[in-house]
Amino acid sequence: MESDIPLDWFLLFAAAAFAIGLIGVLTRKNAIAVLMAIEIMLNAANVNLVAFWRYGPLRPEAGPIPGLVLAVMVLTVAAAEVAVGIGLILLCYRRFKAADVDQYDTLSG
Amino acid sequence: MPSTPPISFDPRDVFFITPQVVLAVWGLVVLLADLALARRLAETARRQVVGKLALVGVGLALAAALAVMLVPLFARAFPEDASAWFRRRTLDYLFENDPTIFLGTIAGDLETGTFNLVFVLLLGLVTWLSLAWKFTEEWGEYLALLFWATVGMMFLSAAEEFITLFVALETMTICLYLATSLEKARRRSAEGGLKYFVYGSVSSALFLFGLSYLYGITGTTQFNAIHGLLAGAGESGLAGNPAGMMAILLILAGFGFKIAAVPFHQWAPDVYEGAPAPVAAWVATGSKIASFVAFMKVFANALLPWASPGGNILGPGWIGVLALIAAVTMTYGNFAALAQRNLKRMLAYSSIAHSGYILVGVAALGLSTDGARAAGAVLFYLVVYSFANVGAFAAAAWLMRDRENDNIDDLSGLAREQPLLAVCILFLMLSLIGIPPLAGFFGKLYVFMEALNQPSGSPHAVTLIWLVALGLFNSVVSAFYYVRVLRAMFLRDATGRRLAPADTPVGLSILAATAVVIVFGPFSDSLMSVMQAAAAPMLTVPATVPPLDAPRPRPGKVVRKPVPRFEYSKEEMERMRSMANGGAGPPGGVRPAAKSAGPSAKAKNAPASKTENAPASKANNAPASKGALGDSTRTPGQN
Amino acid sequence: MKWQAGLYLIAVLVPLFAFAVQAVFLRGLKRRCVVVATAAVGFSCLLSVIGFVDYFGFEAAWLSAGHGVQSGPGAREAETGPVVWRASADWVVLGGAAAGTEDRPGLTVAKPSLVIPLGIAVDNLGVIMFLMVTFVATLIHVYSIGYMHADPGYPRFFAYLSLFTFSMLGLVASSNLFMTFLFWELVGLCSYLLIGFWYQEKANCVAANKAFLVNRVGDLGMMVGLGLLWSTLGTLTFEEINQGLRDGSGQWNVKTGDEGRDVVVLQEARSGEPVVNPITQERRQIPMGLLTLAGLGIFAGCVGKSAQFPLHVWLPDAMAGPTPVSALIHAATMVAAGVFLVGRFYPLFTEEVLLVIAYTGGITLLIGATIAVVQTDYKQVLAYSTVSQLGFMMLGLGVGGWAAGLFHLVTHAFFKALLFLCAGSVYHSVHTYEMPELGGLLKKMPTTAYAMLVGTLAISGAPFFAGFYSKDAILTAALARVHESPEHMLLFVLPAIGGVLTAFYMFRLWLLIFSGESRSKHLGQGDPVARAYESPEIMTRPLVILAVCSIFVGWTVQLGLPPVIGPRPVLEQMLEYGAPAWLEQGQGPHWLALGASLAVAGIGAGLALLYYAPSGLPHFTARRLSAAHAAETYPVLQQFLLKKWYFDPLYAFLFVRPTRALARLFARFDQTLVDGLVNTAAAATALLSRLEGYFDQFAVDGLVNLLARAVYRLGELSRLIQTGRLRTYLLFLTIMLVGLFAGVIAWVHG
Repeated sequence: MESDIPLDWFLLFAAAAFAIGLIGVLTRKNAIAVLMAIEIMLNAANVNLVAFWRYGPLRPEAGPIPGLVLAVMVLTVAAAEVAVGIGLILLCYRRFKAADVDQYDTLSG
Repeated sequence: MPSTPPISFDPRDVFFITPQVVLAVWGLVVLLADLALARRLAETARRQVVGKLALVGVGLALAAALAVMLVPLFARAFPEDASAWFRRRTLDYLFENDPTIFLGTIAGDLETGTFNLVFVLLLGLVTWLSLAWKFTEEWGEYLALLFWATVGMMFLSAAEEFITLFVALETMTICLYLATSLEKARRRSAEGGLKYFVYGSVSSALFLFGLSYLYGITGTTQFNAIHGLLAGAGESGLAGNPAGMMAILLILAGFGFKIAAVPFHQWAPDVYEGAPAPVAAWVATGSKIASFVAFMKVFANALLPWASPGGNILGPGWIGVLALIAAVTMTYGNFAALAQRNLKRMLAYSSIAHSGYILVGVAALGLSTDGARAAGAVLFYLVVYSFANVGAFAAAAWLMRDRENDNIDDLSGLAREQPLLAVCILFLMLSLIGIPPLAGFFGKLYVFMEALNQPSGSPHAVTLIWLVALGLFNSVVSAFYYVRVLRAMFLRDATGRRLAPADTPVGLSILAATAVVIVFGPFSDSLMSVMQAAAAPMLTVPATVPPLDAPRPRPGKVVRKPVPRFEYSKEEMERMRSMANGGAGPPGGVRPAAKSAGPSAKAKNAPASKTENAPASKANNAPASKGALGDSTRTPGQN
Repeated sequence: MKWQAGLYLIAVLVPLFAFAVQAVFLRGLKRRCVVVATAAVGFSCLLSVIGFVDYFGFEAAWLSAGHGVQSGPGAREAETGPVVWRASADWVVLGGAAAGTEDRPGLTVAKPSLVIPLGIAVDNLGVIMFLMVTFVATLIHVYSIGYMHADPGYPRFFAYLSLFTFSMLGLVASSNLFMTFLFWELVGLCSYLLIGFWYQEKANCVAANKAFLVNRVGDLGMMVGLGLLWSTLGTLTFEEINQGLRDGSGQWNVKTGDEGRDVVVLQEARSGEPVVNPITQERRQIPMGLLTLAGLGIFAGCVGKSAQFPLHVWLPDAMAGPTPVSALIHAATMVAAGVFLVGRFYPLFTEEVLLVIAYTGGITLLIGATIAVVQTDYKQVLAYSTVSQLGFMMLGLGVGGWAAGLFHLVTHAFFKALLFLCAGSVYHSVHTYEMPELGGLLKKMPTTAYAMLVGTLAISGAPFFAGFYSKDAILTAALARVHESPEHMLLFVLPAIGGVLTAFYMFRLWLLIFSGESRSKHLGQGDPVARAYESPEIMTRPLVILAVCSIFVGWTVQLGLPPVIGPRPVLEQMLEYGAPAWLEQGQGPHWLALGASLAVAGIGAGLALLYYAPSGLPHFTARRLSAAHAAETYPVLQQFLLKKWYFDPLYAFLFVRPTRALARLFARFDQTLVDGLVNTAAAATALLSRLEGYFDQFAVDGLVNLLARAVYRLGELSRLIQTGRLRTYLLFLTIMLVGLFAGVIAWVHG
């Protein structure tokens, strides 16, 4: 493992990606772009998980490779979220005739 | 040492997830039936047929949930009778003490049994309520989503490790996102769905990011193992561990979204108002119960060592953060509810406020010396609150159907048109305020009493007393907006369109909720004892790694009492087994070899492995314990 | 369980059963509901009589034989303690199932940490309260048959009454604070339902809500007290706490606690051993400061329920309910529950709390009495009078007159119920509450008039009427307290002034309604007085019975001789029997107190006669009435006009009239003196009450309104951040999360 990239690099990369995703969610108006930004956040977490699995202590009591399993699960969940998200965005687009999330503000107070 | 979970899969474990399987399959059945009927029947007829079919599914799930809950209880309570019903191997399996199943991913104990039952009952009310009027055309999809969301809730409340928890959480919320947006005629439904989705996805991402750090720190996702590692690693708390602090706050944000705690609450009013009333009811009750159960498992089990490691409530520990959030949540929810005119929106803010009260209980749980009692109080509150809320949302559904509007003022004159149901709603509102002797009052009483019942001299006691005082003040404030509903119903003449008489679905939901609220007021202790028994296995704590350098005992250190379990001492096990065998059979020889090393060899609550770690406590526990699991080694102060 | 306990259990449950029957068969029973309700409460009353006779039969023999309380029951008390009939079963067992531990270990969770018994404990106070509540309730049921005859909500009314009777009896019988609190809320609910009984009118709904919400404020204190007591002492049973906190001479069981502070330790009453927490083996104890706080909290609940200052605002509005309800709930029984609880839990209250109780009572009685003086609505006069009388009781308890305060509670229940029922009878006949439009009803409805006269005499404290004895007892206790610490002189002065005002406004009420001629501006058929008729017998009979009771319940053995000469009243002695043993009761009759009570009644009644009697000074009467009438006619100008009206006579009196009076001093000495005295008294009274009215309206109401508005404004604020825009929400979430991070980091490193 000596020749590997240090763990910190992965963590920094993941944190940066997560921040980019979060900023994307906050700044983008287009609903599809917001969805993409959410995907970036989920995948940043995945990078963390895999890196921790690779560099972690691999405890015997932890069960079978939990980090990888969780990462795979997250990929699955993310795929489901995209499907649901696109559907909801299309629905809103039909109702509001706009893809701008700021237009969806009839519920407030 | 956190002992190794056996990497083995027992196919009989499937028995414990029968309700989930039934609901999942039946969701598919309903979906297919709806597809098949779509062309042949008119909309109303199709709704009736599909709805009846769904109710049959709920009935089946109810039977399954009852079986899962009662069969082990029956077998343990009456081993003689049970031996006539079951084969010996089955009986052995039922006697087994370890509640974790499926490789330790989920629990199959009284807690899951009880909550499966609660979920199925609530699902029944919500499903029935949905059939009251036409708000969508996709009945098959709608009902299937409700069912699958329930499956997610059941797994969420059963999860014993983070991967399962995350997947169950997502299953539940994704189904609810879709169900929220299914009301076709209204724009607000789609808007609510999208807001729910985006807010929820961001929260999931935050949760997951925090989870990744927690995994990095501990290298495992099992709650018990995490607890052991954190407890063994010395109690530096959040202070010495920025990654841990990140992890806890992010996980808190994820759960905060699910339970609608301030400042993670802003989706709730919009979603409740936008969603069809039954879905809103399901978000406010089922989803909240499941999330709180998981929340307690994570925080009062896995993350307990970080509860208040500094001994100072506002210091680096999650209790300080939680106390702050609880205070803000209940105050904000109540005050915001005062300004509302829409019934569902008002209920949304009030449910935020109730989350605040419950969080007081969770904070108390983090400090309590008797975890089962404190957790039982929280569970009691949750159940009672949920039934009252389903009733209130049924009223909203009724308004929506007949008056096309669900403002509070639209309830005007209800008392004269429908006196019985108006009185029922009166009881529900009084229970939500917390007027004795209704169940809601006892919920508040138990939770607040647990918060007050801290060990004397504990530095946290003062903060919790303030929290309780704030809670009491808030419950007075809450009277103002609930009374507005009563005033509309009883003290005003009807204004808008006449309400059609409530048909069976609405009436039944309200009546059933009222019955629960009334019955479990005077008889609160029966429900409470069930909830405490259910809470006990939820909070199991493994034997811990002894600390490397035992710190000095601190004043105010919490000594959690051993949590009695559903479990027998070795001698009793032998006695029963011999009874089951007709008096024959050598002790210990009847089980499979892998499981013969005591009542259980699995990780969760293996007395055998515990006694290895804590030989000193064996002598103390032996006479009194009915296999009570002590975690006394967690406390350096005892050494 | 003795058979008497069973008896009282049945007496409590019968009205509940009646309520259930009525609730289930409401449609079917229709007007026959009344039979069920009245029979149930009558049966309870019968049982209470049996219990009463059984309890006091022995003592009555003693007393009638001329023995004092010291030689009679007091002697027995030293040996066995006062008799208490108990029955209880564990109701809420917090902390797990104790039963079935052996065969079902799975259900064992922990030792019970809180056991709330579902218990009744009837001691002598309970016995007396039971008899009073059931007796008055029975009469009011009967009266209501006539009063509510034409009302469409007739069956609903009786169902509520049954529920109320059950709740009130439960409140009296409960053996612990927790159950008391449950019934406390239940009577509050009944009150809410009955105030809003005619919910078609908005004012009634507002009044019902006001009562409900104001009471919640008091309950907040109550819950604080309840929580404090439970978390420190681990029990809520009255007997355990009452007997466990003080020793035989009334001294607190003070020990020095772990941290060097003094704590009061809870002890077993019999053995004197400290009570310990079964789980932690710690002593049950409470610091002195917290004990005071708990006492204040519980008293706050009593303030709400018994309409004491500053929460008295709900009671006058509560008169929106039907008059029998006002008589039963808002005069005789429910509002007295606060006083009852203070009496029940008396040993808990520390010196400071007792002082607060006494002064609260004093302020309340003054406020109530002064406002009652200027009201023109006779039901409002009675409402404020109730507020004032409740203040009397609280003051009596606060100054140490345990038996005196409760004695007044019982006598007041009789004569105030009588007064309200008479008022109802008048309203039933004339359909107006405005006194300026009435007058001369004596001829039209003599029974009501004379019954009301009895009530008026009783409440004013005329000798030989019940109120005289109880008020005398309170004044005696107050005097003893003042004697002890003269700086609390006010505690004697306030009730004395209150006594004058009471007699004044009650005679004013009676004179305005019944004496003279009709003052209605309508003539012929429009004149309510002309159409007036005596109420039916079913309404007047209860009046007569209550009138008789209002005379003799306060009597001494020697038939009405003042207590200075003879022994003290029978009822007071019966109450003293159960007073805390260390509390010195019946400090000896006092000539000064007797003189004061006679004097205040005489002065008040005399002033009223001078001012309002038709044969008195006619020009005063005319002026007073015309001004009141003007105020009615111009409600917008009312405040302004009234102010002018009060300042003008004041200035006239202070500057103009003295000048003239001096000039004519020698010529018209007699007339001026009389004039001046009367005017001074009247003007001062009126001014004072007007000030109190303003205070009530602006300070207390204003405070409540301000609070409410601030609360709603806060709620509106929340709408600002709930913009409806998703990105704002997420931004808020992010900022908050970052703030949370920053806060935790700051904490860790700061």
